[in-house]
This record gives sequence, C-alpha cells and structure tokens, in this order.
Amino acid sequence: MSETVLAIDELTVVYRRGHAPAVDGVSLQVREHGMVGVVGESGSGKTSIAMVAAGLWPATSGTVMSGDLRITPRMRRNERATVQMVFQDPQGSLDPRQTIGSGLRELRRLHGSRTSWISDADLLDRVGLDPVLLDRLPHQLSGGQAQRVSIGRALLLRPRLLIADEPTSALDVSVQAQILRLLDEIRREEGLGILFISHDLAIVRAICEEVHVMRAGKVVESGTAEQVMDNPTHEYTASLLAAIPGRERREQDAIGRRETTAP
Amino acid sequence: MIKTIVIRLLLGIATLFLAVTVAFIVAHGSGNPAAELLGASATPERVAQLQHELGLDRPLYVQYFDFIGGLLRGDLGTSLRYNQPNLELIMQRIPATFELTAVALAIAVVVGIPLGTLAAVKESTWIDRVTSAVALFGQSVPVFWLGMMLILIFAVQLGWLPAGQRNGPLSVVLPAVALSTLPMAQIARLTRSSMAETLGEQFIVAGRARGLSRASIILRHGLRNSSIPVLTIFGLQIGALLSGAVTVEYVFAWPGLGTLATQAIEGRDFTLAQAVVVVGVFVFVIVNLIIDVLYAVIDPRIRRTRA
Repeated sequence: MSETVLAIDELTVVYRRGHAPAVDGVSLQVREHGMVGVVGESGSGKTSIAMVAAGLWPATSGTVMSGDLRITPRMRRNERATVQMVFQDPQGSLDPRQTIGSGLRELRRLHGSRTSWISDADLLDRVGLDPVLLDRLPHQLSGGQAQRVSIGRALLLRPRLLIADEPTSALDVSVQAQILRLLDEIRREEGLGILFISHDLAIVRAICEEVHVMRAGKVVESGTAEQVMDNPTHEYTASLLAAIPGRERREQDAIGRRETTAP
Repeated sequence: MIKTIVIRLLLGIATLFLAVTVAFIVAHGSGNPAAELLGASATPERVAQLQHELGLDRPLYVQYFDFIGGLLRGDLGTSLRYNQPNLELIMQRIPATFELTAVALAIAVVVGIPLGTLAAVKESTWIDRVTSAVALFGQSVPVFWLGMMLILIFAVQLGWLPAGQRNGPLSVVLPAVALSTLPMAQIARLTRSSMAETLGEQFIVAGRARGLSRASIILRHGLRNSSIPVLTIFGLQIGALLSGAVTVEYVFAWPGLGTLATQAIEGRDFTLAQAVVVVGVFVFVIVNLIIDVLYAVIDPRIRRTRA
C-alpha cells in the first residue's frame, strides 16, 4: 500500500465567527502517485481546503497531516517544502520583477541541499521548457509556460504533496490539455500525490481517479471518477453535470473519434 | 531607451519654455518696477529715465526676445536691487536650499516608506489607523503653522534647537522637519496603498508557500514591486519641496532661494524673481528627467520592452 501524503480529517474552516463555515467537516486522503479531485462551484469551499492543505491558512478544527507531519501555517521551512502548491493565475504567481532563473536561485538559497538534485536546465526540461527561458521575466512567457515554471518550481523542492488549485482554468483549451498531461506524468514518475481542485467536472474526470464533490463547505458525493460522473447519486452532482454545455455531444464526438481512429 | 530620454528631454524643454514665458508675463504685468524702485517721491522724469535705462520703455515683445536670448546664452540678467548678476546671487543661495530640501526629502523617505509599509503589513489594525491619521495630519497641516509650532516648542520652550538662520548642522533640523511633513505623509500613504495591493498578489502567497520568510517577502518581493508609484511622486515631491521651501525658508529665516525669491518680489526686483523661477523650473525638469530614467532601472519590464 502506498503512503498517504495527505490526510484531511474532519476539517472545518470558519473565516468569521458566527458565519457559515467555508469548509464543514471534510475528510479526504491523497496517496503517493494518486490524483484526487475536489470539484464544486465557486464558494463551495474547495479553495479553502487547498489553502489549509498548503499550510497557508489555519484549520478552525480538524487535522491535516502529510505522513507524520502536521500541516499548519507555522510549519518550518524544510517542512513547508514537502507541500507545494500551483495556483490558478500562472503569471500572477511569479514575481513580475524576477527572472525565472533568479526565482530558482532564490529557492536554492532558501532550501539548500534539498534542491541540489537537479540543475536549472534539467528542471526546465523536466517540465517541457527550453532553458533559454531562465533569463526571461514572467510577462515574457505565455500562460502555459508560466504554469510550467510554477510546476517546476514546486518540483525543485521535492514535495510529497502537490496542491493544484484550478491550475488550468486561466489557460486556453489546447494548453490546458498539455498542463494536465504534465501533471499526470509527474504524478506517475515523481514520488508525490496531487490534490486537484477544479470547477470543471470534465477535466477532473479525465485526470483524477477519485473525486469529491463539494457544495456549501460539505462533501456531498465521493467515489471514483466514473462512479460519480456516470451514476451521480446526489442531485447536486447531477445538476453540475447537466450544466456542462454540450457535454453529451462532446462525449459522442470523443467516442466517434475513438472509433474512427481505431485500427 | 535612448528614444524615451530624447522625448522626455524635448518635453522638458517645452515645459521650461512655457514656465519662463509665464514668469516673464507675470513679472511685467505687475506694476511699474522703476516707480517702485525709486519710491513715492520720485519725479516722473526720473522714473522715465530709469525705465529707459532698464529697457522697460521698449515694446514688450522686444523685451521678451531679449530675455529669451539672454537665457539661451546663460545670462539671467542683473538684479535691480543688488546690482549683481542674478545667476551669481542664485548660486550663492542654492547650497542652502539644496541642503534643506535634501535633508527634508531624506526625512520624508526614511520615515515615510517604513511607516507606509508598516501600515500595509498591519492593515486594518490600530497601527494602520494611527499611521493613517498621522499621514492625514501631515498632509493637511499648513507648513507655516507647523514651522511656527516647531519653533515655539523646540526652540523657545525647550531650547533644544536653533529657531532659525543657517548656523551649523543643528540649524537645519527644524526647517527640514517642517518641510518634510507633506512629502513624508504623501509617501507614507502611497507606500501603504501600493504595498497593500502588492501583498494581496498571488506571487506573495506563492512565496509563502515556498517557504520564504515574512521579512524577505515584504522587503524583496513586496517593496520592490510597490516602489514604482512611490518613485513617480518623487518627481512631484521636488516641486512641492521647492514651493514649500519658499514658506519654510521665510519662517525660519533660512538664507536660500526661497528667501531670495521673497525678497525679490517684495523689493519689486522683477529680473531676480524671474531668474529664480527659471532656475526652479530648470531643477524641476532635470529631476523629473532623472526619475524617468530611474524607472527603467527599477522596473526591468520597461527596460526590456523599450530597449
């Protein structure tokens, strides 16, 4: 059995006392080499889960563990390295006045020998980028390139857990697919698990084996991607599925393509 | 980059020309300098004679071109009152004004930027509110009143610092503090809003997630990314400092350009007043030109796209 890299147990997050909790008694696990999806509309609490799981926000109650490490905002630097996050806005998560290379140097200074396993050029190559980009500033990159840099930067710290908060929703559809492929590749080849946050059921289905559907801070449905998508037991999941425009046609097209390309 | 500088330079020359023209019109539209110089007892013949000596009886446009021509040769005219070249008088006073404004600007930056940063980091706490109140006070208090209060408290009551004139390093303290208040308040407020905005950016959160310390996030990533708007008002501050210096120098009897300008206006020494305006505008334009170049140094985005 592979190791559990994220164990969220009865997590509750309350931003303002007396207000409805943003996250209400959620439990979920991510295993090494696993990719677990959390889906829901905006305001359902999925980003709050991401922030707490990345140690950027305190849990009001409940525990969040990564192996033996308790994830809190007070984690030490070397502990923090084990939990990395990729954000929604690819350019926005890079300092606009720092070249890609100098951003990596800053990380290497900060985390020392932990980062010495790979050179800058190899790291960029690992995420499918040309090393010439090391001299570039974030605004000189495309959204897809910037997101690859963010993923590479996370990988440099050898995390056990990667939290991807809507990593593709700011990207073009064709670029989305490339980034998803990269994440899937990393999941298989590096020893880490991914918590994938998205509002897009179709993407989650394509990439995650396990899915949790959230609404108003609670998980209303959990299961394998196929189970949840093909036989939604909760009416909310069904309504989310129905809200995907042209879903049936798209699936039919996909099936049709598969048949015509088959030998 | 070179193109930017050339454009700024041309704009600066246009500004200079415009300001010089306005100064000329104001100086020549405010009464008869010859009569003022000679006093009430002068005969009309004597006034007419002096007007002729000063060239004031020539058509206005001739005087204007004469004035502009002089400027182009670096000749700012001769003072009516002191009978000395204006440029010489100004050069004698410039070090005092430079000292005063430099110290004031240093105080404004050294106090204003940390104050604004502190307020942004502690946004919505009592520290933020106290800082904002201090900044609002600094922005609204009249500088002459503040100057007099400083004199009353620190010179008259406590006797810690000299009340005026330029005598040793301590004498600059009170006038510089009075002069620094407005720019300090503006810098603090702007730093606060710019910094608060930057600290809300995703790369700041991302930096935290990668294990960057709070200090390094604020100083390295926060301050650098919020410095552009602050630098922008620096150019405007120079203008504010120069005009503020007129008041402050008067209140503290500081022997700089400001007192020279006041004396020139009071004494109807219109050529000297004109010359002070020309020099003031010249300094203002040059400083702003330097700041435009500095932008490119601080913000590599400008440097690369215009290179």
